Amino acid sequence: MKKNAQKWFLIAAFMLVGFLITLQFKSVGSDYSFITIKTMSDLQNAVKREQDEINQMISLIEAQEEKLRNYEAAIASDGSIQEILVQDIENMKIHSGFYDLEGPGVMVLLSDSDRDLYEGEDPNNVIVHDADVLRIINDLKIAGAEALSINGQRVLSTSEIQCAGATITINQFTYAQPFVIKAIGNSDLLNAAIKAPNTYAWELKEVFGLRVESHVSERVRIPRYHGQRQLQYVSVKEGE
Amino acid sequence: MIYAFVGLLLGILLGVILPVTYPAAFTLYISVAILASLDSVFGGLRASLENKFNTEIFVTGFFSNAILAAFLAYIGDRLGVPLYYAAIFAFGSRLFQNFAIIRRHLINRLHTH
Repeated sequence: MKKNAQKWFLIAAFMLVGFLITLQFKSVGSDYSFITIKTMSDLQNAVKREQDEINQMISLIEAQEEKLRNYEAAIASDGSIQEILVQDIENMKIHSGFYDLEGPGVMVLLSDSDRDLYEGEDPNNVIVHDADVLRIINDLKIAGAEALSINGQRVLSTSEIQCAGATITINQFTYAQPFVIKAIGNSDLLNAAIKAPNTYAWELKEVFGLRVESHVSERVRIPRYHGQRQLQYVSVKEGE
Repeated sequence: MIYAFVGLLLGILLGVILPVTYPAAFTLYISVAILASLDSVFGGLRASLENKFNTEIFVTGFFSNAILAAFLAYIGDRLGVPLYYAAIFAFGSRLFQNFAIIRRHLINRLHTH
């Protein structure tokens, strides 16, 4: 009797062990793993970023489809898409400086400070540099400028802003200060890019004492590009 | 010995058939509990071979060892110290000891028969 009970207890215990081991095998074998809350939130952020990107792509596709619909509508009504293509070319030409332009925007005047230097101060502090102009141009681009000019030179994607002693060379024309930067775009935004506290232009004015003026105008005029247009090295890559 | 194998097989069969799962977070506790149970089971096997088997001691040892080991693992988890190493160490070494003794008993039996 005693021996019999022993036997059953042993069997039961072994059964339990076997049962637990199989359970463990099943659990560990499957794709469970320990992760921290940080990993989880990181993954969630990554997923969100990917979703944003996908949404962006979808909106891009929609924009292209809209364009395609325009073409189709043009074909349906006129039988040709010439008008739209001409419109496209006009847009391109505006972008690449073939036309004199006009529109609302700002006029920024930039010139050296007329304050006296402190004892031992670097005179560079009161001079307008090429980098200053470059940064203001970039700030205006960030604020949505559609066309820019410096001292009557249209700023294109290839326009250089080069330091040439006390002067600055733009589109291979050299100008002394004062520099007049014109920008066409949302005039409030453009004005803010120059005047808002902690912008670069504001810093030039308030910290270094340069002369920085910004005038909002309903009719800013920007001339066409007068420089060379010949291309020597680039060619169009076919099949894209 | 045969009972042990029969029980083990039955248990594995049950584990395969029954659709029981538990959260992944419990795997550590279960594994430590398994080790504790294995130790008890080998101890019981050894005792029964030596004819010293005591049901009360076996049953209480079986459960209390498993629970203590899982509890150690839990406390260690909370404290950030892997306390379950203690359980693994103790039970692991006892396991080998018991197994060695069981082996000697079985070999003795083979020789005497």
